[in-house]
Amino acid sequence: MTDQLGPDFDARLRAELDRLEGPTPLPSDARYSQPRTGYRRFGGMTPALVVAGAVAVLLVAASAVLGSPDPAVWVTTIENVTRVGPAGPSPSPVTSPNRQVNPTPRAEPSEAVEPSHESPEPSGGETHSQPVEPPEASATPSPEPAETPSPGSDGEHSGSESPAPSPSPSPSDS
Amino acid sequence: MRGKAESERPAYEPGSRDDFDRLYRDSYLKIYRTLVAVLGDPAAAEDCAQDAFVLAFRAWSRWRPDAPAEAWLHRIAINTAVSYQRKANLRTIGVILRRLGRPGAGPDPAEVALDRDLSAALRTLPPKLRAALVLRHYHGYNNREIAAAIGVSERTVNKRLRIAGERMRILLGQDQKPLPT
Repeated sequence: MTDQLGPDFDARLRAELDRLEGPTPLPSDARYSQPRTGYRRFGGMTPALVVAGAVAVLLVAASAVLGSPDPAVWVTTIENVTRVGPAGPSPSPVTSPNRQVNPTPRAEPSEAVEPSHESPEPSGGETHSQPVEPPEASATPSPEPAETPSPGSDGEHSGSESPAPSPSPSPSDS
Repeated sequence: MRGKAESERPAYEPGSRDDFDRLYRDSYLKIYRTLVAVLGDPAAAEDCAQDAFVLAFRAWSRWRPDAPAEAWLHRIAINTAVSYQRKANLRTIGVILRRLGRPGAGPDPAEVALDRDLSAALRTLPPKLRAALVLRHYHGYNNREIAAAIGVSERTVNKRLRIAGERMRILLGQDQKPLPT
């Protein structure tokens, strides 16, 4: 098949290509001996480049989300966010500013209780007349006399502590 | 016998820098000539040959001695040349569009060749057919060696050689020059 081309073709092709006698470059001058150029030079630093790129993306994303490029602001924002979570119910004390001393979130129950043992505060006693609340309330208002009813925590367990608040109600009754 | 055969075949150790330098010195000119025949442009052939040796050098540690190193190099070089030719075709389209209304480009590589008819005929063939033709008629490879060098089956090699031979016979048949002796 290909022999149809005959020996003449082989000879012509050989004559044409053999005249290309360009000097073979020395191995030291060959391209494979040359140092890599361009981006290939960074081929060995690929992991470091990936990490740097990821950090850069995180910084940009954090700046965009938190609205500031300052890491100190990020820390403050994160602290505020984490602080807001557990302190969520705390705003209730704000609603009753007259009880600044009482930081406990159970403001409403305390209102019901306070009239029971602290007559001077009329608001709670007048509005709420639930007799069941006082025992529980006796425990919650403990922060007001903060030091004395230290067993306030115990009062939560049972009504056994009910006698403790009893002394205080006596003046209120009177 | 065996010792003679082994002495005829240069032993290369994969990954050895010295052996690769020796392979480069021994085979650069053959690769270059093959690429000149495939690309028809000595400058492009030199560029592709250098690129091919760069690729071969990177893969040198993975070369398997079960195949001749020169055939392995030819495979890399021909693939490089085919890729180069594709990109060149795309560039040519862009150049033609940019050159509309301007003076023509430089001389055709075929006109630089001594045997213009042969060179022009070769340029009408696709690069893969040119490669098969050169490996057979210039380097003297058989079908199996060509298959190993190009990375196709022997059947494909046979088909390519048949098509290339028929075309060349038609193109050169009426203009067979007497060979210079």
